[in-house]
Amino acid sequence: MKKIRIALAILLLLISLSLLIWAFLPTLVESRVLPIPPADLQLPTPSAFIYYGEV
Amino acid sequence: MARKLILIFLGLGLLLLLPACGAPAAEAPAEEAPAEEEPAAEEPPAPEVMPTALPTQDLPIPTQAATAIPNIPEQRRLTLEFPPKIRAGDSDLVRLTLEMDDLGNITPTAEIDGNEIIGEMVEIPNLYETHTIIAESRLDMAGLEVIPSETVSEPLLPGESVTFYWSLSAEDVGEYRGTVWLYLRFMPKEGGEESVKTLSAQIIEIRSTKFFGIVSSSPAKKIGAIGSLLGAILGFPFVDDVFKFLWKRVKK
Repeated sequence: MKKIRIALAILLLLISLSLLIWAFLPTLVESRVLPIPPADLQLPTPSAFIYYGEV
Repeated sequence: MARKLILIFLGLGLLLLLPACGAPAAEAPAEEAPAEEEPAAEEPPAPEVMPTALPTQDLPIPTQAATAIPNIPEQRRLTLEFPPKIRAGDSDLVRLTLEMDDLGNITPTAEIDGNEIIGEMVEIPNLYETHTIIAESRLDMAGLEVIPSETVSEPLLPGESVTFYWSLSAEDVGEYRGTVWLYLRFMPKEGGEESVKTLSAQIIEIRSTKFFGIVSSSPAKKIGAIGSLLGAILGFPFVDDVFKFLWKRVKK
């Protein structure tokens, strides 16, 4: 009887602890960094009217 | 005698006339040499006729005009942070930051064999002086609850960063895809038409999970807490003696 009780207790503890660990585990955070040059921070201008290089 | 004199005069006259008649033919080769030099000597007037063609060949003028487009004289960095996996029933945050890039240098700099070459500073009209700039952002994601769901805006000030937060929560298991949009709205201070520029559109994928596909986050916490307590009581070595002792006290 005592063995069954202890086995049941261990099983219950294992399930409960795994549930708690899963529920409280901190989530991973993915980070993306994108550099933005000043050229991208300008007024929207139709590119057809901008001359960038030599012909 | 008179005939002889007349013939002599006629002969002289012919001699004088011959060079006059042959002059164009005879002198032409002699004049051709200077004629070749003359165009070179006479070319200075030619450029006076050509200046209309020069501006189209001298293209640096439009180049300078193009580089002088007003912009924000800052190097910035856009950082997007999101959880690739969330628990169903839980909520998490998505953060988008448009911050100053400390490493960013607007002055173009190069280093060759230890010699540092620093580019010239170009006078670029500052957009902060002429426009009010608003950073606007939105997170579009179907299937997940996103708060706030509408476009969020914040003024973009010189040297200051802008941060947007969204709270996400999922009810069901699944893979969800969405887009994080960032716009810049330019509002002229002197009035006029506003313009909007899309700065970034980043696709994100978030997976929602359950414990073995059955239990979501909040029930898992409750079941885990109660189960742990019961398991600890059941597994306690003297729990039999404790129950017997309590049973006896109750009986008495």
